[in-house]
Amino acid sequence: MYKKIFLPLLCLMTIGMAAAQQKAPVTGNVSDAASGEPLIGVSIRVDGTSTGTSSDIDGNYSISAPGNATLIFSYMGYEPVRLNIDNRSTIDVKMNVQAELMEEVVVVGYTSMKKRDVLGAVSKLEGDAITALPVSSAAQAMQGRIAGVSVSNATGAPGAGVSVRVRGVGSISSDNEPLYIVDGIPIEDAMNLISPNDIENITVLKDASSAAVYGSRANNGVVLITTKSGSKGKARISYNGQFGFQTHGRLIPMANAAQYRDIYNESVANDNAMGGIQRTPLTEEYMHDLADVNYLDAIFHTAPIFVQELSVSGGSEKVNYLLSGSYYGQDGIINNSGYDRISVRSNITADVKDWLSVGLNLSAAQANTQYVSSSGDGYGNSEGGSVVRYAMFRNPNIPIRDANGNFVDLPSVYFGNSIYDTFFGDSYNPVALADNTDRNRRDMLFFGKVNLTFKLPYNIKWTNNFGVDYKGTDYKVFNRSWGDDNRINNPNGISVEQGRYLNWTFNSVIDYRQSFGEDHNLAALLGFEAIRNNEYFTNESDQNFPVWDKDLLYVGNGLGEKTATESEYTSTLASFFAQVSYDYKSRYYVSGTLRYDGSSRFVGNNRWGLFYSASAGWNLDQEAFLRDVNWLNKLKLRVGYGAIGNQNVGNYAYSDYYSSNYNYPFSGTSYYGYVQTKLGNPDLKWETSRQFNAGIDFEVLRGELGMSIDYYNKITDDMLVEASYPPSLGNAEPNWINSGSVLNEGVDLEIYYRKQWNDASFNVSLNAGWLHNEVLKLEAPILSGRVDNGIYATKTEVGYPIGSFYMYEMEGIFQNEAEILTSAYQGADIEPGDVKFVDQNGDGIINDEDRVHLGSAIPVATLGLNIGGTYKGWDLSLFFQGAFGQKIYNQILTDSEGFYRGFNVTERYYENHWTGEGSTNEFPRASWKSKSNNARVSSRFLEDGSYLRLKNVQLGYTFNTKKWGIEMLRLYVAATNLWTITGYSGFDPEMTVSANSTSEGDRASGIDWGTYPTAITYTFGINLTF
Amino acid sequence: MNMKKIISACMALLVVSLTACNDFLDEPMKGNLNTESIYSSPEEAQLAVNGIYNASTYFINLWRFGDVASDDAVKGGNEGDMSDLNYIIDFTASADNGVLSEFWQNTYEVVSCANNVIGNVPGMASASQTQKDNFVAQAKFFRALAYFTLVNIYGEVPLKLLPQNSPETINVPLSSVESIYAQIEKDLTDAAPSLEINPVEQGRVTRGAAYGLLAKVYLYQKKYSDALNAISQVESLNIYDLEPNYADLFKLGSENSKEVVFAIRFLSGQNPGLGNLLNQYLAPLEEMGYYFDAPTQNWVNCFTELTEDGETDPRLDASIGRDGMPWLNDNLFQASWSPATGYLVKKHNQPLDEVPAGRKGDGGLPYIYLRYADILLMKAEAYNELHQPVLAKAPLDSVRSRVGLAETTATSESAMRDAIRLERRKELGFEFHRFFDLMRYGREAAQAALPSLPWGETRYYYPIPQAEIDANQAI
Repeated sequence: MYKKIFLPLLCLMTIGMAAAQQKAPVTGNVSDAASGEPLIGVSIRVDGTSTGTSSDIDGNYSISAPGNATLIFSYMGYEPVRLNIDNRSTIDVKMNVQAELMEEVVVVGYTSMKKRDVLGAVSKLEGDAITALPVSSAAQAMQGRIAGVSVSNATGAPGAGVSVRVRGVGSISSDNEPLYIVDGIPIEDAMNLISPNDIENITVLKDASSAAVYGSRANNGVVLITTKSGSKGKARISYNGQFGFQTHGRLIPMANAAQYRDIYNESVANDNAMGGIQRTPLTEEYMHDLADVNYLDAIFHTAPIFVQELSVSGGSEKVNYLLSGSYYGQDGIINNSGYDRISVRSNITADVKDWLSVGLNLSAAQANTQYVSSSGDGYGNSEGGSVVRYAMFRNPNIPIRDANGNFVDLPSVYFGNSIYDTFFGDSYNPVALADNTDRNRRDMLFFGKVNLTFKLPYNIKWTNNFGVDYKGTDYKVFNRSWGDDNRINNPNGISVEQGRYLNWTFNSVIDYRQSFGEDHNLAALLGFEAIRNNEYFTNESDQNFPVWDKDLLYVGNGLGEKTATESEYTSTLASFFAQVSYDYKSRYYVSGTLRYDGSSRFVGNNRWGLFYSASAGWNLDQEAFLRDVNWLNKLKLRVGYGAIGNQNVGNYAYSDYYSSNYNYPFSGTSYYGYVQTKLGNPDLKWETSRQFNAGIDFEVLRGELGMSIDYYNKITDDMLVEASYPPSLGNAEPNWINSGSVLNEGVDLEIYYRKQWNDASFNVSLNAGWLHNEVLKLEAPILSGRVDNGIYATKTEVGYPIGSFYMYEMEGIFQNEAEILTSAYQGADIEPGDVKFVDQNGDGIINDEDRVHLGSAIPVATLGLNIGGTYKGWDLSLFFQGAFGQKIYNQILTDSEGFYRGFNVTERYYENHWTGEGSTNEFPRASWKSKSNNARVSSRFLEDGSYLRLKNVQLGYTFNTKKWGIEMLRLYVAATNLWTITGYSGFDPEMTVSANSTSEGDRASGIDWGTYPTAITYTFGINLTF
Repeated sequence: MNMKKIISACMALLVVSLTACNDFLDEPMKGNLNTESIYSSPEEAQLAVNGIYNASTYFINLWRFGDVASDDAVKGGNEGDMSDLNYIIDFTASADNGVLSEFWQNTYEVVSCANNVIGNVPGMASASQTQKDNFVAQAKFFRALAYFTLVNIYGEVPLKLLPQNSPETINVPLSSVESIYAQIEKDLTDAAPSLEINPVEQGRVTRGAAYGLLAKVYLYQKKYSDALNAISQVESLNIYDLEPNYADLFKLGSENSKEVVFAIRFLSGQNPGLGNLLNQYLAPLEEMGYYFDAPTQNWVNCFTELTEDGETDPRLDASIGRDGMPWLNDNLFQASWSPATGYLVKKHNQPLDEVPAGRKGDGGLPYIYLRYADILLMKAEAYNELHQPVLAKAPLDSVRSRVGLAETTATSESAMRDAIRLERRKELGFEFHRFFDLMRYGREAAQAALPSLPWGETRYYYPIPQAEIDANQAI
C-alpha cells in the first residue's frame, strides 16, 4: 500500500523538480551527532544533479539549489542524510556514525553472520575486485587479494589450471587445493563454471574455527563463492565488455647464429684437447646457407582477448531474479593455443509463503581449450615437450622454413649432409611443433541447486539445499605425423578421452537464533549433509588415418588398431554437524563446532572421523573504558582452535589394483598381460590438522584506517601420503598410508586506509602473509622433482619444507690447475674453467653426501598492494602482487647453459663464460665433455624466484549519465602483468609448475622446464548499467 | 509445533540417517582387477603371468653392464646422453647413479610380478594343479633370472620371495651372495619339471631354458659337475642345435631358431607397443638412432684367426659395423657414424624397412639371452675346469666349425681355458655377457682386461642404490 502511494509521489516530485529551476543559496553546518564536533569534507549533493560541494574546516557549507530540491549529505563511516530543502536557506545537520558499516554480513559455514561477530580468520573479497582483471577464472582474480592465500597459475597458457593454497602446504602427497563451495554446494570445477562477473563475493575460511563446520574437506581452507542475485527494486541491465590484446613479456636473450658457431667451435677445441671422441670444428666452407633465427621471437605472436557480459536483475516484494550470460575468448600468444567459454546463469528466489521461501540457481557453461605442449620435457605426461623449451634449444643457424615454405625438420636432411649433425643438434622445430599440434578439450558444465527454506516458530530456520554438479569433458588429440619422412608421430593417430563427473549434494540445516533479554544472544546450528561423487571415463584411440580432413578425423576411420577402455569411480560422504555460538552484549563471544564425517574412501573402523573447534572473541571497543575513545571504532581480539579432516586420497585407496596393456608376443601375436600397478591399504584413516589461530582487528579514524593481524599454527598429523618404499618394490605405485606431520605457521596481515573528499577519494590496502613450512615427522625422506633418470632436485624430509631443494652447492669456477689440486676431488677429468662445488662434509671428495638443502619453492612472504583513487569522474587503480623468498630450479638452463649438445645457449652464457684465469667465477668454460660435472644438479641453476609485479593498472572515467537515462557508464583502459621486478633469469617467476611432476604435486614445484609464460594484456573496457 | 516435537523429529531423522549412512558409504572398486579378483580364474591368472614376461623385456638393458662395463664396448652415443654410464664404465659409480637405480628398480619389477604369481596362484581353487604348477614354474624362472642378474651386479641384495603387500614383505634385509644363489638354484630346480618342453605358445619359458640357466648359475659358482648335469638335461631334450649360418641368428624371426634356448621376444607395429628399443639405442644417428654401446678396437683385435678358407671370421661383420663394410640397408657403414670408436653394434639392428616409418625403436628382433652355442661353450669350460681338456675339445670345435674355423689346437688345460674364453668373447660378443664372464673368471683375468677395476674382498660389486638404503628399513 505504502508503495502504491509513494511511487506516484516520487514521480510527481521529479516532474516538479524539472519545472522549478529557480535556485537559491543554502548554508549550514555539519557536525557529529554524538560529540558535536564539526565534520570536515562532508560531501553535499543536490539529488539528481551533478551540483555538489563539501564542508569546510569548521563544518560549514554553502550550496545553490532549487527550494524544492533534496540535499544528500554523505561522509565515510556515517549514515547518509537526505533532507528536503523546503525553501529553507539555513540547514544544520547532525550525522550519525554508520551502523551498517559495522554490520557487514559475511557468509560462513552453512549460514551467514555479521562481520563483527566473526571469530575465525575469515577474509572476504568483493565482486568488483574480481571483475577488474581480464582473467578467465575467479581463482586468478584472487591472486594477491587475500592475506595468506597464495595463487599460482600452472602455466601462462590460456585455460591452464590454477593452484590455490590457503595458509601453506599441509599435505605431502594429497591434493592441497581448498574446498570450493558455490551457493552452499561443493563444486568440482567451480572456477571454470562461473564467470568472474557473476560473483557477488568470495569468502575464504582460513582457520580451523571457521572451517571446522565443513570438517571433512576443510583441511586446506574453504573458498565460499556467493553468486549475484537480484534485489528488490527497479530492474537493472548491466553490460561489461573488454577488448584487448596480449603480447609476450621479456624474452630470454639467446645467442645468435654467429655467436653459436663461435661457442660451438670453442667447445670443440676444448673437448678435442681432452682426448677421447674428436669432433670436427665448423669451418668457413660450411658456413654458407646458414640462417639466423630468433626462435623465441618466432613462436610468439600478438593475440586478441575478448570478454562480453550481460546481466539482468531485479525483483518485486516476493520474487528476486538475476539472469546473466557471458562470453570469454582468448587466443594464446603461441599458435594453436586458446580458451573460450560461454556461460549462462539464473538465480531466482521467491517467498512463496510466510513460512517458506524457495530458490533455484541454474548455470551452464561450455569451455573450449586448445592446447600446445606448454610445460615440461615430455617425460611422464602425454603432451610432449614444451614449445618454449624447443624454441630455446633450436640452433639459430637452421631456418624455420625451406625455400618452398615447408618447415625444416632435420638439419642433416635440409643441408644435405650429416657431417655437422652434432653442430645442428636434434631439437624439434618449435614453430612446426606448435603448428602441428591439434589438441582440443571441451568442458560442458552444469550446476543446479534447489533451495527450500522454512521459517519455523521460535526463530528457527530450516534450510534445505539439493545441488547437482555435472561436468562432461571431451579431450581429443590428433597426433599428426610430421617432419622428415613423417618421422614424428608415426603412425598418425587420434585419442579421445571422455569424462563425466556427476556429483550431488544434499544438506539440511536447522538454524536457531534467539536473544534472551537484552544481553544474551544465542545461535545454534544443526545439520546433515550427504555427497556422492561419480566419475566415469572412456578412452578410445585409432591410428593411421589416410585422410586428414577435419571432418573425417573420427575414431573408426583410421586403418590401424583401435583401443577402448572404460573406468568409473564413486565416492560418498555423509556428515552430521552442530554449532553453538553465544555472546554477551556483543562483547564476549564463545562458539563451538562438532562435525562427524564418514567417507567411502575409508573402510571398517576408520570410516568415521570426529572433528571440532572452539573459539572466543572480545570486542574491546564496546567496553566502558574504550567506548568514549573517539578515534577508535573497533578493537577485537579473536582466538580459536580446532581439528579438521582430510580424505583426499585416490578412490579405492584401500585396494590394490592391476592394470592392463602389459602385453607380450607369443607365437608372433600380442597376448594381454596385467601387472599390479598400485598397492592398497585397508587401514587408511582420516588425516587431521589441528590449527590454532589468534587475531586482532582494529579500525580507527571513523574507519579510515584499519588493520587485521592473525597468527596461526597448523599441524597436520596422520598425513595421507603415498608411502616412500624402497625401489626394490618394483614399479607399482606405493599405497597411501597415514604417516608423518607437517607444520605451517605464519602471520597474515591486512591493512587498509581510505579517505574521501568532496569529489575525490583515495584508498590503499595491503595484505601480506608470512609462512613457515616444515616437515616435523616422516618415515623416510622422499626424493621428487625428477630432472633426469634417477636424479631428483628436491628432497622432502624432517626439518625442511615440503619440496625442499637438495643439491650440490656451486662454489665458483676452477681458475687454474693449482686450485683443482688443492680442492676436494671432483673427478679425473676436471680442468680449469669447470665448476667447483662445496665440499660440505670436508672429506676431500665431492660425492652425493655433499648435497645440501638450499631453500624451497614455497614463498616466505606474499604480498598484495592495491592503490586506488578517484577524482570527479576519473578513477585510477594500481594493483601489485609479489612473492618473496622462494627458489626456482631453472632446469632449462641445464641445457641452455649446461651446453653439452647442439642446443643453443643464452646470450649471457656466451658473453660471460670462462675463457681463462680470472675471466669469471660464475659461468664455466664451453665443454660438452665436462657436462657431467658442470651441469650437475647444483645451486648453479637454482635462483631466487622473488618478484613484485604490477598485476594490473587501470584508468577509467565514469560519465555523468543521469540525463541520458543511464544509471552508469564507465570506460576504462587497463594493462595486466605490465611490469615485473625480479632477479630471476627465466621467462616468468610465476610459471614454474611443470607437467613433468604433476603426480608429485607440491613436492616438485618450482622447477622451470621452459614453461608457457604469462602474457602482458592490454584491454579497453566498458561498464554500462541502465 | 513446539520445541519438543522438533527435537524428536530431528532425533528420528538422525537415527534413520545414521543407519542408512553405512550402506551409502560402501563403495566397492569398479572397473579394476585387484589381487582378489585376478587370481579368481585361470584365464585371469594367466594375464598376471604374461605381465612377468612384459616386465622381463627390461633385460635388453643388460648392455649397460654386460658390454659397456667390459672391454668389448664403450658408452658411445651423444656425449651428454646417459652420462651416468661413464661412472659404470670406470667403476666409480656412486649410490645415486641413475643407471644403477633404474636397473635395480626394473629388475625388481620382474621379481615383484613373479612373487605375486608365486604367492597367489597356489591358493586358487578354480585352476587345476598342472596349470597352477606351470604358472608358478614360469614365474620362478623369471625370479631366478632376475636374482641372477642382481647378484652379479650388486652382490648382496634383499631376497624378496613374497608378494610385497606389508611393511615386513617390503622392507627385507640383504642376503648373502651364497643364499641368493641357493634360492636361484632352488627356483630353477623346482620350476624345470613343470615347464613345457615345446609350448604351443612359442616364447613361453621352456624346460630347456630352466636347465640351461641352471647350468649357467652353477658355472658362475664354479660348480662344474652340477653344470654338466644341467647341460645334459638340456641335451636330453634333444631339440637344440646350432643354427647353420651364424648371421641368421640376428635376423627377424630368429627367436624360432633351434639354437635359441631362451629369448625375450618383440613385435613391431603393436598398440600398445611391443618393440625392441635396442633397434634405436644402438643404431647410428643417420637412422635416428642413439649410437650407444660402441664396440672397441680391443674386441675387433680378437679376430686375428682366419677361417679355414682364409676369410675373416664371419662373426666379426655379423656382430658389428665397420668402415666400408656392408650395413643393413644396402649401404656401407661409415666410421663417422660412431664418433666414439668408429664401430657400432649390428646384431641388434634391423633394416629400416622392417619397422614402421619413423618408429625406429619399435624393433622386432628378439634378445637371445641363452643359445645352444653358449651351452656348448659352458660344457667345454666345465670339462676343462674339471681337468678334462680332452672332453672340452668337441663342444668347442662344434662352435668353431660352424663359422669355418679349424679345430682348436689347444690341448693343455690352460691353453684350452684361453681358447674357450676367447671363443666365448667372439661368439657371444654384444650379447651382454662379457662383463659377467670377466668377473667370474676372477681377479687376474678381470683386471687384465679392465685395468681400472677395483677388487674387493671377493670381487667388485656396484653400489646398491641410495634410495634403497634410505627407504628400506631393514637395511
